Amino acid sequence: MIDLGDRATVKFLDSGCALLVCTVSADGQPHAGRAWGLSVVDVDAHLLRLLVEADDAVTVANVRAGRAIAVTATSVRTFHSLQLKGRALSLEELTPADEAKQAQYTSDFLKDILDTSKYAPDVMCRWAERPVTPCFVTVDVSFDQTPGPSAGATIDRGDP
Amino acid sequence: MSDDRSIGLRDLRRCFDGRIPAVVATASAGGVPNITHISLVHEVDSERVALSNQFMSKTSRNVVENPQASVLLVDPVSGSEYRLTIRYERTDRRGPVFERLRDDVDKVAAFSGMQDVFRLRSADIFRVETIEVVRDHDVPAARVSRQQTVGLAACAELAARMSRSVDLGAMVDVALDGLDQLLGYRHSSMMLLDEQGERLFTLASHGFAAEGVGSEIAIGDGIPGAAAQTCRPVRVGALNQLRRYSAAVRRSFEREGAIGPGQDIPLPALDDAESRLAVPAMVKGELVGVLVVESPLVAAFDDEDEAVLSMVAALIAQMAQLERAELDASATAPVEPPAARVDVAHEVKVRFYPEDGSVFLDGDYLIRGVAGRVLWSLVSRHRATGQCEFANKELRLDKALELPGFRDNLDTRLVLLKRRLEERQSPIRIERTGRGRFRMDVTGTLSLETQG
Repeated sequence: MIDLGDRATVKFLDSGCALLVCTVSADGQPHAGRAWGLSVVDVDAHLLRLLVEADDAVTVANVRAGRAIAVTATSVRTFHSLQLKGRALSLEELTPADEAKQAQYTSDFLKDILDTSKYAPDVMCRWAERPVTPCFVTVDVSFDQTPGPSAGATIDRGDP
Repeated sequence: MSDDRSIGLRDLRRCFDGRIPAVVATASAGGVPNITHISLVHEVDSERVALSNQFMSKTSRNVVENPQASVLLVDPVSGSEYRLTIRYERTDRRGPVFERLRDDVDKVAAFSGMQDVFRLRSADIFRVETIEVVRDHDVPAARVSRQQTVGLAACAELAARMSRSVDLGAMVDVALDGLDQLLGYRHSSMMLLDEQGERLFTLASHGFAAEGVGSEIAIGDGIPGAAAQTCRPVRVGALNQLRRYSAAVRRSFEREGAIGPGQDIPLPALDDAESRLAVPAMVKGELVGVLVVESPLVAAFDDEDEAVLSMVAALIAQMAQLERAELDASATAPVEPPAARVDVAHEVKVRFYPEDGSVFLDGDYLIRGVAGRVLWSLVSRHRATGQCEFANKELRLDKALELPGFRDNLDTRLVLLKRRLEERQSPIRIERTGRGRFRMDVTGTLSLETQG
């Protein structure tokens, strides 16, 4: 299991990397979604606070049901990628801190995109306008998801 | 966010061009989720998509256990986002779908010199069950294609101008100028296949800061090399993203020890190039060269551009073939060496390295390989006998040039040499004087030196 207290790991997860979320329904149907901010809340408990899309009904329902969840964080600039797998714990009320987190995350994410590409800024900005709802997630296992032959390798410890 | 039956895969076409990476989510039979960006999602038909598999990934293993998957796609023009619920049907390891995906994987490999390790293993085919509109945004004014803007008349005018060219060099100049003036392709280059069929060398370019005549690239390397290798057009619409993605994959391979650290293929000549299209120039089913266009705009080229440029490339290839045939059939009459036109006031120092055919003029590198050996042969004859009129045929008999017996490409090497001499504003110039004949003029007195 990756060290969530490691400075480089925290910095990476706190950056403007793309955040992807997969939850699984009771019938085994996987569901792809996005998140718009992630914070390491408790290193020892491997606890994350994740801002999932509030209008993504399937993700919200799966989180509410405490189902399995995977979160992949990918650097827009380098494609370096880390996948964390565990279980959703609970939906939470949106706080001012969450709103600030989302604003900072979205700003960093869009900056990375616009610095490295020629997408129309207005198109990217409206794409990134999402209502969010926070949830807690516990992480059981982590994987290197960077494209290449090592993609999917389990991470025991060390930097992302 | 229910299934919107009014949306079909055809409506999502822009989402499949790879500009914004797609996302695929799967789950194992035990319900363990997995989510990752995926480099390629292709539309197979109106009901199916294909996902590329280069690494026998968790995604591929999961769908064998649990055929259900979920995909996110973003329209790079409107910012609209779609979620596809898909079901795994089969895996292709050959066939048209596999070939299409392999072309795109080869692009990534060619970009970072990973052709030996980064290969498509299979194409996983999925049936699309639902398409959900996650975010719906208006599309800006529809893009107007280049051909709609300039019209077929401009294409015909370019073909007419090219057909009036007297030789390959002139035709290439007319083609590249015309592509700019008539069709709006501001940045272009023409590369020709070398004698061994192993490398492409730049014969001419247009719209770049540096002309780059004589620069070379191996078959398979870069976008032009990939087009030459497959003899099919290769198009990239987001070079910056491709470069970063291929660099990430390469670093991963290096960490695994599969390949050693190496130089990336040099970036396109445009510093800010985002789009590059390379089309093979073919005649009688054989590769002659590659025509390349670039643009600083994302996704600047489409199928219509491929069609137009393929037509132009074919005309160039036919001229190359025609010249070759003419030279082969040209008379072998001995050439009378007329008096050389020499300006004796200036000494022109020519240094030759037989090992690789490199030639330096007045201390500066000029050219190497066959073209270098040709120049050395010419200046040696000129120095010894004052000869300044030459026939291609006599050069072909010069064993020191190490020309292959079949398809020696001498004509195009002479064009390359001529251009290189002009580009460097050299005191040595060569001019075509007739079918299979040319003249060399030297402004100064030659001083020859062989090294090594």
